[in-house]
Amino acid sequence: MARNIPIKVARAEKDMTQKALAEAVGISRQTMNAIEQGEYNPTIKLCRAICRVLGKSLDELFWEDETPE
Amino acid sequence: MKKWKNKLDEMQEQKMLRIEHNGCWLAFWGLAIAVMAQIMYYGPDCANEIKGEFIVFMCLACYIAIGCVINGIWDRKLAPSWKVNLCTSLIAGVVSGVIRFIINYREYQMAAAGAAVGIFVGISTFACCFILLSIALFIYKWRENRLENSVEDEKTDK
Repeated sequence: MARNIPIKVARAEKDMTQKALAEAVGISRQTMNAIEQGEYNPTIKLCRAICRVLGKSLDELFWEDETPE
Repeated sequence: MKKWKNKLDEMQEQKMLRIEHNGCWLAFWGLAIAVMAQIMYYGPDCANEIKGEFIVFMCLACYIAIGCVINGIWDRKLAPSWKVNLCTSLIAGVVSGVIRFIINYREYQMAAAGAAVGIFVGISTFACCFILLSIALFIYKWRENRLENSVEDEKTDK
């Protein structure tokens, strides 16, 4: 699974650390880190919570182009 | 008020379930091996020695089997068919037959008698396993059909 750069960018725009975002969403920092590293595939419920905190849409944060890596 | 609120997030929960899953199968096979080893060590009259392990093992086995069948689940890898049940029962029959032969041969040093008892126990185990698996397969298919139809009904309702 590819790394999730859009979350990292959106987090930086909001000037939030991984820990702050994780706390706002209600998860641990290790889970937030795993999502950003592409090591964990979050549920739609968690995706929506992250989008809500970062003020972005699901497409903006989680949509991947179909281009081969 | 929820007294025992879950302190894990979803990734930790998945990891925890994975750990519990491995622990459950470790206990299952550990108990199965412990029971078989004790039967071979103590001989035919070992009911007192193995009853604790055997009760826990059977509770675990029944819980898993009933839980799976009720939820319309058979197995991850094995197909729900009578051919697979036949093979599984054959393996169970051969293993129990061989164990029984070893026990009898060690007790009485008579190969022919040991083999006869082993074959009898093996056939009995095979028959019991096949009948039980066939009943479980029948209930599983009925349950799966019911669950599938209830999903279809919900779809058509909307």
